[in-house]
Amino acid sequence: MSYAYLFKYIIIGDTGVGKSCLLLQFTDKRFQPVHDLTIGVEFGARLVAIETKPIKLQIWDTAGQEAFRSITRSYYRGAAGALLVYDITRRDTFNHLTTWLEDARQHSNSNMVIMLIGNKSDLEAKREVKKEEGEAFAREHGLVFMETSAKTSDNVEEAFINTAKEIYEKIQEGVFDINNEANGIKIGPQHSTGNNSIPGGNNRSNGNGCC
Amino acid sequence: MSFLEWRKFNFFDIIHDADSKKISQTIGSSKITSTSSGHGHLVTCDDDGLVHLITRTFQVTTFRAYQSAVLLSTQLQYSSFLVTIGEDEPDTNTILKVWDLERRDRQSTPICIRSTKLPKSEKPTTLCVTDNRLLMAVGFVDGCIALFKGDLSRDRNSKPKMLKELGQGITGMAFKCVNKDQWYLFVSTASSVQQFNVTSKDSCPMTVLDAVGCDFKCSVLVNGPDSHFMIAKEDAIYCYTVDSRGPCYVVGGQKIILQWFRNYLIIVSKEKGKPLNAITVSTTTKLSDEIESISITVLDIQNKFIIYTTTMPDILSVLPEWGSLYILTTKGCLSQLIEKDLQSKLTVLFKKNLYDVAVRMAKCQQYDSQALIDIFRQYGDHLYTKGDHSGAVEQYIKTIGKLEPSYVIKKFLDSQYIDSLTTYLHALHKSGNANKDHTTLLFNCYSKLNSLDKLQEFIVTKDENIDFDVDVAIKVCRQSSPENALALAEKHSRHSLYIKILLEDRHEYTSALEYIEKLSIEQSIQTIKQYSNIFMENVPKDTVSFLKKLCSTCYTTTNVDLSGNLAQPEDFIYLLLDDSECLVDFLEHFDNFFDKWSTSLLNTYIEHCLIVWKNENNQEKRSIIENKIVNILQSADIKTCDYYQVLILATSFEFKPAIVYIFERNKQYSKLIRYYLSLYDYIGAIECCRRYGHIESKLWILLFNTAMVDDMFPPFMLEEILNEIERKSLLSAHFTITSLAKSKTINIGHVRAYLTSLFGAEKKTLEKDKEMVDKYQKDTETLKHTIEKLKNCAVVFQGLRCSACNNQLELPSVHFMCQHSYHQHCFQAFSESDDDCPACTPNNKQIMDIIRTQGQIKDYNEAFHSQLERATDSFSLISEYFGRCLFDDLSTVENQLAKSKLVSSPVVLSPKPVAPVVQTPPRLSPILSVKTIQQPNTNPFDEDGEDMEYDDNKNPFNDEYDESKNPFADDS
Repeated sequence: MSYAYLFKYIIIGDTGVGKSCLLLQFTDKRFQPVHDLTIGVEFGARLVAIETKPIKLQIWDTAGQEAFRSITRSYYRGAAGALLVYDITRRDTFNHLTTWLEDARQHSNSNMVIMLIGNKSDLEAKREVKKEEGEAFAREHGLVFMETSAKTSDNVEEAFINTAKEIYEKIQEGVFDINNEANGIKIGPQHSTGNNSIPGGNNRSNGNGCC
Repeated sequence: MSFLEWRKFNFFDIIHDADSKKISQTIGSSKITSTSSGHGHLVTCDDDGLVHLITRTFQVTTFRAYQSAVLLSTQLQYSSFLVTIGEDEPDTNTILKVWDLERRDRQSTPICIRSTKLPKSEKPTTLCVTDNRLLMAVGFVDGCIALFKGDLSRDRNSKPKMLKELGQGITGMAFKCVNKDQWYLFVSTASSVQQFNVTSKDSCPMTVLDAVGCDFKCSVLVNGPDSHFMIAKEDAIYCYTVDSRGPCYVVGGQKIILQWFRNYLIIVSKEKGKPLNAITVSTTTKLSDEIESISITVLDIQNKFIIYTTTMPDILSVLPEWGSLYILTTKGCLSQLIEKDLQSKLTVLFKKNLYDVAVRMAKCQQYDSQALIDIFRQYGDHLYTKGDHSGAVEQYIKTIGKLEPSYVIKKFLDSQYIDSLTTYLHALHKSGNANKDHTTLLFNCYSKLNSLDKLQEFIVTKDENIDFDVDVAIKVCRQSSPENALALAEKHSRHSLYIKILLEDRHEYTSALEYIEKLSIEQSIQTIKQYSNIFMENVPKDTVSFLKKLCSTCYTTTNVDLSGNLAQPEDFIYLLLDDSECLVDFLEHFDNFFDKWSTSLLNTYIEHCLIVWKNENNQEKRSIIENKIVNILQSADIKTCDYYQVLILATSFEFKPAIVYIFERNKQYSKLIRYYLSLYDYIGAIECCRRYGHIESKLWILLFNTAMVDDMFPPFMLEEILNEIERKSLLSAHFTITSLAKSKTINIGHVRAYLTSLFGAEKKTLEKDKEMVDKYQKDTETLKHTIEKLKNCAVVFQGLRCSACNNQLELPSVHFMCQHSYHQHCFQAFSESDDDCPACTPNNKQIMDIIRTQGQIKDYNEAFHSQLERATDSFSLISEYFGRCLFDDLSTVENQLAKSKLVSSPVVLSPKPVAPVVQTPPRLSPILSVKTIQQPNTNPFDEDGEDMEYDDNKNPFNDEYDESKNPFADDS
């Protein structure tokens, strides 16, 4: 289970848009039609490869309900990427995006990569939010946009991996300070010892190298 | 409020006063300061310095550990060690003691095996020991942590390592092992959570995990592979991994104790107030409420529900031991929480129709598969009655393998559920539990749904463990989509079916042949045999060429063992029987392998060659075929060729070369000649006679007889035949002539030469015989005359020389009637008997022998008869026997013998009457001495001697032998 980088993600959005299902589909490749409400924050991880480098994605799946907002907010801070999810069959979830975005921008570091996800694309018949609207919103706020379906697993993988790619690119560009763990990025044990090309490789301040 | 979001169940039974108040009695008025459990004990320590060990039957053992008070205690889970921290006097450094509970002294007090004074005077707040007894940490109120390394029971002198001061009192600690050798120490304070890596000896680097903290007892380490360190805050439970934050569970309430039991998290918390006045609680009322409303909640983190909750007046600690939970109050009341068994839990879930939860839970607890199947079935039934057919099918699919498929199929037989049914059947096949009928049903479903693509997909992917009766599948597919059936058949090597479909449904004969060609030899043989008739009817040429290829590969394969299964050309002959040319062509393809041909094959080949030959009008081609057949006969092995069979064939087809060859081969020359004669091929016949006459001379006779009878026989050949007969004396001339005379066709002209020579020869013989007769008569006369003379006239012995030594005869001498004279001593030396003349004895003896033998032979009547039978010329045999006096009287023979003796009887002359002394004694040397005499001149036998005048006339033996006088001369 060695990895080059560890990216921390957070999934946010209104309750019932399918955040937990997205995570379940991504980590376990299954779909659970009846899913209990997320109470608090759940947690999942999966190893993916970006440009042949193994990258561990550590994902926090937050509760969407307003009541849990104070708790979930505390998880924003250590995240390198965020999936902002709305339900294409429910207009109000789309309308709340701005609030979510503000919240995220406020509590996270400024470099966090945010991907806008319009979930439940399999329910085309019940669609309330057009794809174009989503695209427009994403353009307006500088987000990456994608419509997914956690049920059919359509685009789920891509959503997570594209986000990882973007983060990776940002690392290559030097936008992220990978030595600051608050950014939600960690260099893997094998990577840091073996690869000197990473700028500022001796970041091991307080013994986090043994995980 | 969010608390209520988790589903609530009651999976525990509570027993109050489980210990019958024994503990409270033991503790009395002292205050419990610390509790622990493990290794079959509950441990309570009080402020009086006493430690109470409680067994399962609530027998309490008490011993004094400290003089003043016990502050902390930890019972190791898997060993008998109890670690305590206490003080003997107030306000002195506390002492850490390790007790071995299994070793007791006389008062049955456990032995203290280690006692160490802690290096700090501050109050210790937390104590943490690893189960392997190698690591121990003590947290102090000022934020210091003392880390003890090494075997805690032995290493008395090791100084503890002091970890970095955290500035706040330590509220919780836990060791966690990662990868077997990496040890971490989680530490919580009131406002932070951090982790120390305590693996290395020297430095213990710290990582801050979060800036929130917890109270005493409000942290717990969850055991297990993906374990977390959990801390309880007022709003939620937060989890931490060794390197970062983990999930969090929102559970409201002010937590007092956090404990872990099996897979459950136990939270003891103060309710903010009674539900009734929850909104309007003031600080004061809250305080008063607290006393009555302490709640204990058991959470199933994995399944996300509350499995027990109750309120109690107060709770001091929650101790897991002996498979259940024990709740201890400050007053020493012990309540037991017993988890319900899985069956009753499931019953609860079933009642609420929470089958998915039930399944999850059952799986969690390694429920046996049969029971799980039962849950799935119930779940399926439930969904079915609710009308969620696809959901039901999903559940039913999980029952595959255990539940009888018909149970499910029956439910979905209605045509509106066909989709669900198809899904189920598909899954059934995937799991390999499908039988023939299921396959049929599934394929029918596919065709009914018109989803050929799905069918195709099913067929294509079937090699991935999908098991079904291929034959049935093909059968069903054949009706709906032959392409799929073909694909199926090909994939599953149902070659016969594949061909069948190609032939019967699609009539693609050539492609079928091509397909067969691709198969292995055995398979292709089997298949082609099965369908050969159809192939022959439709694509004869291709079939023949295919068969050629097939059979020749069989011939070329060297493996003899397989020969039984190989394609023998004879297996396919019957296909071509109607078309001889084809057959011949087919068989000729293998003419390189004649040696491997079987007899019947060869026969068939020849037969059909003959048919072709017969039907062929072109002379050239006919002769080619002729050559071919003869070549085969000549080249064929003796073993494989049944010549009689071929002969019959050849005869029926009147194929001369073969007949001739076979007759010759079998040395049936007479038959051959008869055959020739039957064809009036006299040249051939005589040719044959010439060739084989020396082996079988009867051939000539045969030919001769035929010539006599047959009108057509060309007379010019007769001469040769007659010559040959004559030369070999095959027939008597008499017979020949009689036959010739009888013949109506033969003129005298044809046989003139023969007759002339015959008669000439006869004449010569006759003359010769006459001469012989004359001669014998003369001899007889002479002999008779001699005998007469001997009988009647005096015999004058004139011999002057000894017949033995050839010297001058001297007295005494012996004279014989045969005119031989001897010196007596010579005679004695030479003669074997006194009566016989030594010179004549051999001759006479011979004659006597003959006579004697004749006498013996005449007894052998049988021999005579047999000889007579065998003899070619019986007459001469009889005459020979006459010659041997066979038929004479025995007495006559004896008389004759006596007479003959007389003839040779000696006359011994005494010296006196006859004593002509002529020679000097030295000349009387015996014959034997002659050789020793050196002087040739003195040799009396030397004829060249000058002094010796040999008078030839005087030699009594000088007379020329008169042949005629010899009575036996004729019989040499």
